[in-house]
Amino acid sequence: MQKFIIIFLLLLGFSHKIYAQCPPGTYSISGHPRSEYVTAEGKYYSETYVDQYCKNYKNSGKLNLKFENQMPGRWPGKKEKFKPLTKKEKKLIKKIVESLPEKLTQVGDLRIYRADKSQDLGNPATSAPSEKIVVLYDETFKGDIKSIIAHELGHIQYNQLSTIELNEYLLAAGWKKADSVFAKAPDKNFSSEDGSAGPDEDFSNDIETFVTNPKKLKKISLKTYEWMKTFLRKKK
Amino acid sequence: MDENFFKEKEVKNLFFIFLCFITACSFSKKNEVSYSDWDILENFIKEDWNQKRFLEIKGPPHEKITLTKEKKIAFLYQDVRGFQKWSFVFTVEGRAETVSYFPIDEHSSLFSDEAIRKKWVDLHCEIKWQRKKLADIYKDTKILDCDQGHRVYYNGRGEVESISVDRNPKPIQSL
Repeated sequence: MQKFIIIFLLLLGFSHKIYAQCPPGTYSISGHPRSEYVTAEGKYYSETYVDQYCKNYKNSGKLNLKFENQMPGRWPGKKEKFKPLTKKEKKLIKKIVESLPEKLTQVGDLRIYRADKSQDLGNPATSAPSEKIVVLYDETFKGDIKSIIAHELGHIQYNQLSTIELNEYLLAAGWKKADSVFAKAPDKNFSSEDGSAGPDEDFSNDIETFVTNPKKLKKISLKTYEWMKTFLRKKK
Repeated sequence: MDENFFKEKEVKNLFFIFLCFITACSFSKKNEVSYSDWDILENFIKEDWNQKRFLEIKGPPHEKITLTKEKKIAFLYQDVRGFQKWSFVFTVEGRAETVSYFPIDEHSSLFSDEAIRKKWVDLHCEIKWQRKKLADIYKDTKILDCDQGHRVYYNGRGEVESISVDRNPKPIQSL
C-alpha cells in the first residue's frame, strides 16, 4: 500500500514541486514514514507519517575568534615554526571576517594560529576542520587574504554539513561516491583545478569563488551557484 | 452543468486510478523477491552475488563507473530526488567487493547509529578515528570498525554518512 502511495505521488509529479518550494537559507525535508522511538531522555514518539517541511541549514553558532600563540597539540606539521599574530594581523582578520556572508562565519569557536611557512611549498593556510583550527602562514598576508580565509572557512563548513546538506552539494556539484572513492561527473567544471582532488577541496574552492567572484561560479556551474546562494542565504 | 459532464469526469478519474493500479502492480511484480535495504547490505558479500544475480535483484543502475586506478567497476543507484543511495563495487571479473549505503534522510530511524549497533550486535565493533592529509587540510573521520568488513562512517556532526560491507577492508590508521 505504501509503495502504491509513493508511486501515486510520483505520477502526479508532486515531489519535485514540493522540493523546489523552500526559501533561501532552508532546505526541504521530504515527507517520510517515521517509526516509533524513545529519546535518550525517555520521551516517547509514536509511529507517524511526517509531512514535507522546510528546515533551516544548521550552524554551530556565532563566530568566536580565538587567536593562539603556540603550535596546536597533535599538529602534524612538526617542522612549522609558530609565532603570535600581530595586532595589525588580528585587526585585518576581524575586518575580513565581518565582510564575509554571515552563514559562512557561523562556525562557533575558531582558533587561528600563525606560522612562518607551511611544510607544503607555497601553501598559504592549513586547517583541521574537526578541531576548528586554521593556521595562517606568511604567504597568506602576501596574497588575497579574503579569498584564503573564505576558503579555510569553507573547509570548516564542509565538515559541519549534515548528511542531507552534503548530498545536496554533491548532487549540485556533480560528485558521486563509489565505496570511498569520489568520482566526478564527466561534464563537470571546476572553479579551481585542484578541486578535482575531491569534494572537500571543490566545496572550499566553490565557497571562495562565490564570495569573491560569484559571476565566475555562475558561469562554471549554475547548479552549484544556486546551491551556494541558498546555503549562504543570499537573495541575489 | 449537466449530469453527463459529471459522469464523464467520474469515468476519467476511474480510468486514471486504474492506470495507477496497473503501474503499481507491474512495478511490484518486477520485484517479486523483495529484499530490504538491510538484506542487500548483509547479503551482497555474504552470498557472493555476481553481477548477473545482482542485476536480477536490484535492476539496472542509474550509473555505472569504472574505477581505473582500483581496477573495479561500480554500480550506483539514486533516490527519486537524485541523491546517491547505493554503491556496489565489483572486480573486473564481476565479483562482489564492497557495498555502501548512504542513508539520506536524517530522520530515518532505520539506519540510525542505535539501529546499526542493534543489527550488528554479534559483531565486535570499535570506534576509530582516521586522519588523512588532503591538500591544505587534515581531515579526521570517525568510523565504527566492525568484524567482517562492516563499517559505519560518520560526518562531522556525528550523523551516519555511510554504511559499508567490504570483502577486503583496508586497515584504518587510527589516531
